[in-house]
Amino acid sequence: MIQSFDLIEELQEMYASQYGLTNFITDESGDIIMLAKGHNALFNLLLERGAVNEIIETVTKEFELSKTFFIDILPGVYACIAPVEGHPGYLLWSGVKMEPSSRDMIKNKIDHLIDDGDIDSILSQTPLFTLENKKEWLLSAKKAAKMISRLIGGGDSLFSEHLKVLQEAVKTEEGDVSRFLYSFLEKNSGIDFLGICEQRNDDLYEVSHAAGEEAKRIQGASFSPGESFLGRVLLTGEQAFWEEIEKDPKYTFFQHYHFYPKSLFCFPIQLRDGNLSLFFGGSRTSEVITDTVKDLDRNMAMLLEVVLSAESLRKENSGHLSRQSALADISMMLVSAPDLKKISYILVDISMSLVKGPFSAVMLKDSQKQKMMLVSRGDIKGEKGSYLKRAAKDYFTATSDLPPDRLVPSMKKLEGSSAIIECPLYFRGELLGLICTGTNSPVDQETEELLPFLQTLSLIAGVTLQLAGEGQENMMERKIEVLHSSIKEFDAEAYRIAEESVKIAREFTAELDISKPLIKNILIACKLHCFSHEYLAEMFPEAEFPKIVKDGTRVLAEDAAFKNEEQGIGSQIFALAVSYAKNEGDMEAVIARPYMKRIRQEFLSHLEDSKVVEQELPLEPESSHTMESKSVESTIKNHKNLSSREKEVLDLVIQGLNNKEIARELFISEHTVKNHLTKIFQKLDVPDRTQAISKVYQLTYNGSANP
Amino acid sequence: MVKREHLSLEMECLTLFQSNPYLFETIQGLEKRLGRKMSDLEPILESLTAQGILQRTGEGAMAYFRYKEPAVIAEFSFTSELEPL
Amino acid sequence: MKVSTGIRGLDKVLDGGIPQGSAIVLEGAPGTGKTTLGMQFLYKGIVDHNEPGIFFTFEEFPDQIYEDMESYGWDLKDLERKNRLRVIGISPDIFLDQMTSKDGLFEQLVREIDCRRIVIDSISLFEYLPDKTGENGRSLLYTLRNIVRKFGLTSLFIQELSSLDRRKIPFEHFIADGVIRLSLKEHMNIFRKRTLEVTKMRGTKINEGEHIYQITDKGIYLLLASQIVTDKYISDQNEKIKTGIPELDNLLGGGMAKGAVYMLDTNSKANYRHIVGAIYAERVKAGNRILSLLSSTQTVTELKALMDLYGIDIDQLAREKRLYFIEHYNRPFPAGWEGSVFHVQGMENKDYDRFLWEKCKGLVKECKENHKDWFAYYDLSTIFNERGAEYVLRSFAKETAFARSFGMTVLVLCNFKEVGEQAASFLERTSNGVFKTWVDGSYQYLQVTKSPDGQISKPYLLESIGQKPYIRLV
Ligand SMILES: Nc1ncnc2c1ncn2[C@@H]1O[C@H](COP(=O)(O)OP(=O)(O)OP(=O)(O)O)[C@@H](O)[C@H]1O
Ligand SMILES: [Mg+2]
Repeated sequence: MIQSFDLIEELQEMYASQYGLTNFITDESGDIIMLAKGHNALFNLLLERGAVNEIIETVTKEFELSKTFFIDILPGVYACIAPVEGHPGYLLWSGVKMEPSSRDMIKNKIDHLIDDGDIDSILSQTPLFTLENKKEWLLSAKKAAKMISRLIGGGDSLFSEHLKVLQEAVKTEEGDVSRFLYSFLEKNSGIDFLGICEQRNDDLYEVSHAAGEEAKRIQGASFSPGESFLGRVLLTGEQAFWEEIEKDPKYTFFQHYHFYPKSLFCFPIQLRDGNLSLFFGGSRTSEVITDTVKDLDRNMAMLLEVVLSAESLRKENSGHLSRQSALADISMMLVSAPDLKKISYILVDISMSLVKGPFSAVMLKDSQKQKMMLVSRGDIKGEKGSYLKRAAKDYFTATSDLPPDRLVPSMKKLEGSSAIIECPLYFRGELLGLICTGTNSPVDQETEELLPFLQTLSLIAGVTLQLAGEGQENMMERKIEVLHSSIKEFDAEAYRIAEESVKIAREFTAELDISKPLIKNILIACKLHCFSHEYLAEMFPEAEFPKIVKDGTRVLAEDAAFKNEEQGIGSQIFALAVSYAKNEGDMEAVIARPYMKRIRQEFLSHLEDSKVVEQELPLEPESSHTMESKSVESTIKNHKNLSSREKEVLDLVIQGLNNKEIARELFISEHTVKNHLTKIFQKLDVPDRTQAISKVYQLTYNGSANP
Repeated sequence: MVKREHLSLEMECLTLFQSNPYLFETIQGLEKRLGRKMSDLEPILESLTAQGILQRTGEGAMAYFRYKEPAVIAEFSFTSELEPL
Repeated sequence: MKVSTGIRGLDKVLDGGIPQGSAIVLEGAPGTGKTTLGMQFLYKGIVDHNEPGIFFTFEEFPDQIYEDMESYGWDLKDLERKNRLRVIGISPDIFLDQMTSKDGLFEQLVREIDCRRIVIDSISLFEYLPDKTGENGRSLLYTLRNIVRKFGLTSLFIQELSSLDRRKIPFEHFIADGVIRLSLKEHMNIFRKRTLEVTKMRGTKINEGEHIYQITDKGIYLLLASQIVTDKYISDQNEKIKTGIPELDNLLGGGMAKGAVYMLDTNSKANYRHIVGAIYAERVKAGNRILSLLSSTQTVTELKALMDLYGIDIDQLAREKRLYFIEHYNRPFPAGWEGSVFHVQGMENKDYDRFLWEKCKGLVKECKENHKDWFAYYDLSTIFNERGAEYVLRSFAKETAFARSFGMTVLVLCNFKEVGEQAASFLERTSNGVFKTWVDGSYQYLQVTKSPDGQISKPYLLESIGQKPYIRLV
């Protein structure tokens, strides 16, 4: 359960040394799961002599704890017990302090516990329990318990939930999409309906699956591209979130079916045949969509895409029955082992044993390290080795996105040797890994037949890799966050510097042409600037940012032995940001070193610029939603050829209303609406409604409002 | 080159050894554990051994198989030497 | 050198643990928790004592074991990654073959992780190996034991036991250094009881008897049966005084601790009269000075009748000033008792406090100087009724401390259900010992749920008998 012992220990230490208390954690059966930390001599003595065991047992068994409280371990000797939120039965104990007036009594009590007794010195070291510090103790214990609660498991539940859904997806033979919708719904409380829209023969779209109370009413509802909320996503091809949708004119689409959602999201999903489907959902109770829910929605869409594609692949290959059950087994194994190394073992073994060639190699990109891992079987020396390096370079250093035909397994004919199968592992267009498997013969039909199998495999491997990566990243991020917030508790000034330097570094790096992972590492370094790099390196052995802290600190410390070429741009930016924050924004005081003249200059001018920007743009920018509709509106308004009635009609079309609704809205007949539309199409030089809408968008975003 | 009918059983063996890296088994033992005929298992174990996925130790009835981990290069780059760790 | 078993209770039963390097047979019927106990031994050995271990499984797949053990929160794969543990799936015949061959698999594995403990699950299969039956099977086990000894491994050999009534002592028990048996028994047709018994352990004192264990979601938890495993620190300074109920004295490791406060938690249906009677009478016989608080239901007449049963004439004792009473109800007392009854009816809490403090303390102190010990008995519900809950909560701890400091042993009657959860837990915590008695169906039970030296007992049946002390624990 506990995933970061090291960090919890660290927290315990900090908490202990800050307040002179010893602390430990017990679980629901009263066992001490995190050993006592701290140098509170009296508490340590009592613990050592077993004098606290009974109390632990009683408190654990008899008390239903939801509040932090004090308990007298002996009369006049107090410990504080704080429940660890989210983990029933887990308690953080800290102590002890003593009542000044009970000193003599306590002395009597513990007399027999001490052999070589310096009771007086123990008692004089013990912090006092007073009315004044009572509250502070309570608060600090609560805070420490809260941080610990974040560190004890459970935090990546979203990730593991998704893994479960994926496992289910892989298991089903005949994919029943509705079941996934329902299992998503069950697991996610922020959303109460979900659905899928698919294209029909007549080019209209239809809500083909709908899950959730009342949402069933829209099952079977059809709409054209551009119509209402959902139709709009078909045009833009972009995901969309809508809040407080009841006020929107497009809402009539739902009202018509007596369905009343309050917020809505919709994602386009690209199918293998190139067609788009839509995945939508939302809430009937909440008008806003929080960021967490948005992330959730994105993840669901991503999983659904995999489910749908795997299903269509399965249908295409239904001939190879013997392979299907094998595939299901393999997929099960993949999704139950989201650990990069394990996944790569599985992939290399399977490709090897499928193809039965001389070698197979799996190369995986590690998103955090910008390095690769290579796992291989068979002989990959010499000729084959150089081929692998070339292939890796070819795929991984492609500057632009790979064309779709490079994302499927293919046969590569090498001169003077047998064919090699290259099978890229990708997710949502991002390349995550590559399998290269040698064959024993030139390209032949038998080998070609393996390709669809490999394709399905790579699809599932792709999403598994993605999830594994996220899992790791989640864990790291959580650790970082906890450390960061612990600074807040224990060193207000260091915290201020961290916050400030992160802010300035974020703004500054956005202007520079440096890679995203590097930016991320710089920001983390700033966040954790006050920890020693040794500690960080130990805590995050895989990460890059400890090195930035290390070098950056040397830059800051004016380490004379520190050479020009030794430090990277990352540590320089770190040093600049931290020194700026330390000096409370005094530009003069920003660190200057001979070897970083240029970057310092850029940094200073960035600071200048941002000051100006602040002065010029005192207003909050408007939300993108309103900005967008305004400009579309103005495109229509400024259109020279349209009559004002036509403008009105077009405006409503863009807003997603169908003909009937437009008629109702404008108090005219449907027939008249159609007439207006015909004229509009002529004037805009488009054949139909869909094109009309996209034309307006084109005009709006390409800026040429007047044709 | 690929005996299709064996694929499923081959994957089964592979899965078994993958998820039990510390399984040491004879063909007879595997027959019992998997509930598969020895005669079917033999060629598959043979082939997995040939590909270096399994490792056979000993001879005759006492020969046992175990999973052999693939070679790993933890930090591979386009220029590095391909000597496994 | 003792090796901790990873189960606290079992370590106590074994007086510290298993002697290092011994080979122990762990036997039990299916589902008794052998695999769990075996893995707990390895897991805790690794995590708590840095002793790497190997688990050999002949029947199960390792991945099944990883999965099963996850239910106890043990991440075995992680330990494997760290090269501290191996879960080896292997057939018994290769196992034996490899074990006896020089530089064989067994030796390699032991060296690879610097193994200190092993578990073999299970040796029962050896019997079924072709040409290993009978004599051969035995010599095989003998070889096995010698090899693990040679490597200095502390080992558990798991043995399936299909029926408990074996007539002969099995051969395994002779060659093994120790035998631990797990059993599952029907208990009075009400619930099933899991028990653990150590029937042999070379090189250590054992705490005999069947100890109850439970399989919890943390693994095996053993409750110590009624034996005398005393915690040195407490037992050294505490004299035991008898309760008059021999079985209860046994449960308590000789009796109640002098100067401790015991709570008798009883529900309304339970008959506690004889429990109290026996203890009271025993204390009188031992020559204790006795202070008791009379309740609304317990009159002097009633007490007199009860004590008559135990052959004690309280009338005389009261006149000799060996018994003292606190009376809240202003009821009449026999002549000659004047000096030993304190009437406190109508007294404010504050005054009552002072009375206790001055009068009683004075009395107790005085006797103490004459080397007379005190025993006090009272029904807490009277104080709850007469003085209020708040008073009880405020003063109980103080009185306890007072009693302790004068070596006065106290028995308090209380109904935990009646006083409410919070008060009950406070009282339980503050008391040094708790006896619980309750009625379930047509039986009455008694259990020691807390005692100063940390012993607790399983529930015992309370049986009426025809002679003193009129009750017996079964
Ligand atoms: N978390 C748990 N809490 C309580 N009981 C559990 C828990 N996990 C497993 N059990 C119980 O433990 C028992 C199995 O234990 P175990 O497998 O160790 O027994 P065994 O003696 O090795 O059995 P076998 O003879 O089948 O090998 C089962 O009866 C199961 O119900
Ligand atoms: Mg078992």
